[in-house]
Amino acid sequence: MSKRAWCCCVVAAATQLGDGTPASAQSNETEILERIERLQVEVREAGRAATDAVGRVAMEEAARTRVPTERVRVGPFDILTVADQAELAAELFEEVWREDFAGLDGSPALTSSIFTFEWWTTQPAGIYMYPVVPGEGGPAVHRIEVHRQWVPTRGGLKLAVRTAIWNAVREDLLQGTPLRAWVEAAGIMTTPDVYRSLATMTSDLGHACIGAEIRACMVGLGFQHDVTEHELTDWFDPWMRRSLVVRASAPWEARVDSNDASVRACLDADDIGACDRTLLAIDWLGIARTPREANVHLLFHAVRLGGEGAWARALENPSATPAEALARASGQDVEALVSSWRAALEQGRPVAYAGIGMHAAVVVAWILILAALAMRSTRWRPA
Amino acid sequence: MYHPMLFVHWKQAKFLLIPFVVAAFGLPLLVVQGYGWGAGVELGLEAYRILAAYEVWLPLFPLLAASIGAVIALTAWNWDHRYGHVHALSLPVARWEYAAMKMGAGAALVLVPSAALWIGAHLASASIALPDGLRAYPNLLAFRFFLATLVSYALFFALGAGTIRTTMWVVSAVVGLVVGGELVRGVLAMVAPSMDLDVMTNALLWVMRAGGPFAVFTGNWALIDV
Repeated sequence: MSKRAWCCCVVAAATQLGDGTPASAQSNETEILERIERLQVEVREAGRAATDAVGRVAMEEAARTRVPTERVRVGPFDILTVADQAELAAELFEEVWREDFAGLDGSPALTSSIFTFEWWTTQPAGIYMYPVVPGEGGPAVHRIEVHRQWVPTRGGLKLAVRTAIWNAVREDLLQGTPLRAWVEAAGIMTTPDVYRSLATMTSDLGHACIGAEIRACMVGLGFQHDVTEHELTDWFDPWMRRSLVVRASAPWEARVDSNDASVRACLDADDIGACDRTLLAIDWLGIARTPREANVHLLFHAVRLGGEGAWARALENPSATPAEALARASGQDVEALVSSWRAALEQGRPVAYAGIGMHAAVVVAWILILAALAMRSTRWRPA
Repeated sequence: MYHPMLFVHWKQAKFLLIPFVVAAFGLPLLVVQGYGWGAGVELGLEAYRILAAYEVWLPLFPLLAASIGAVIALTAWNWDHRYGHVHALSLPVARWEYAAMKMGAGAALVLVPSAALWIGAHLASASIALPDGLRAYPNLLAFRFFLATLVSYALFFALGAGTIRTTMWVVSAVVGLVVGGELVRGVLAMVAPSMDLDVMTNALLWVMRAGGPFAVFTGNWALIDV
């Protein structure tokens, strides 16, 4: 029962107790109001006592089962972690911050976020937030609980940290704004992973982009939609061009008239020439063709380039298009920004067999150890 | 004396090695099977498909390397075990010298399946048209395969060189570590839940991570990558 309904009941009950005369009704009413006041105070006190009791029980329960925790601050990140993993958590957040999120110091979402970090083996110890987070209106909690695998998983840990930070920072981008829509539903990837995702795109647009065709990057990222006939046939296989027309003619897009002869020839007779003519006539490729993770990567590249205050500049005009927001954040026009981003991707190209030389040296060392053991054996002695 | 030893080892191992050599040659070809053979291939889609399909085959390369190493190592000591080390004892060489030459002979044999894989990998990468952004790494794959086979060979060779008693000691120590470690961990979990002593995981991490003997088995085994 709500407090208001409860008071009404008390008033109604109290009214029934009165004798009905005006004077006595007056005094009764005053008395009832006083009683209500007193009761309200008692209710508030009882509520506080109940909350404290629940809190105490939760604290006692937590104290029984919880592992010692430590609170660490790394740049803009507030981290609560299992005590013996504090150093590891600080290292990981520091690395991820430097590699992917430099320039995010002014993020409002980060200042009101707390990250819990636990790298567990058998089962998570569970980091209790009660003593840290005061309940409603407190910071947003982002939990990072990673299962420790039997193979080295530092990369996996960093991915979990990176994802948690991105999930927190994403809240700075207001729902419904063009910038939010541009990165909506995207995860976060490292530079080598973005390179890999572009290199394995189903359309040759990605290959052209990493092959230094800036226009391909611009089209792929959704900054430009018009393509020439030559680009269309170079970047998209016939079945892709047809699927672009299918999408453009869908009722929710309705970019082309689905009864148009050229559209019908494309869709019904698989006439790819007709598909191309349709696409060229409407100057349209639909949404950004690159993986959304590339968009997120470009956004943080712009913030890194922009330096201090870049994140705030990216957010200052919610109605700005992604191109405008990125240009404002980085202080460069979008074409120059995309060009430097592509260069950064090329620099961060994954090395397929990184460390193979070190492996060879280690193998030689182990072979020498094992050979020494084999040579010391006494197998052929009859005894 | 090295050459006769190599010849004897080759005689011992050749029939057992044949299926492994065929597998080493065929595996890279099997990996790229069905990709980029015909004209008019849609290369963009190929890039994704090649890398996606490769993940399925990936574990077979280190597994094959480990198996070949074991086979070559065990056949190295086969004659000695069978004939009571008479031949070895009749030779005018010290034990360490004999073991070193035998090990060298086996290491030379490791080159045979590694060369087969190298040729297979080159043929496989030449047989497909790779999209822009993807590259073939036949040399590095073969090199990693060679290193992994050598590690496996050296480990089994050292085990085979000892007495049965030594081998039993080593195997028992490993089993003891696994079982004992789990028992200790279970007891600790009851007594002190916050103290997580995972011997098995830590031992595996140690041998698999950089600097460990089996680090070469982890990491990238891709024939085709970006």
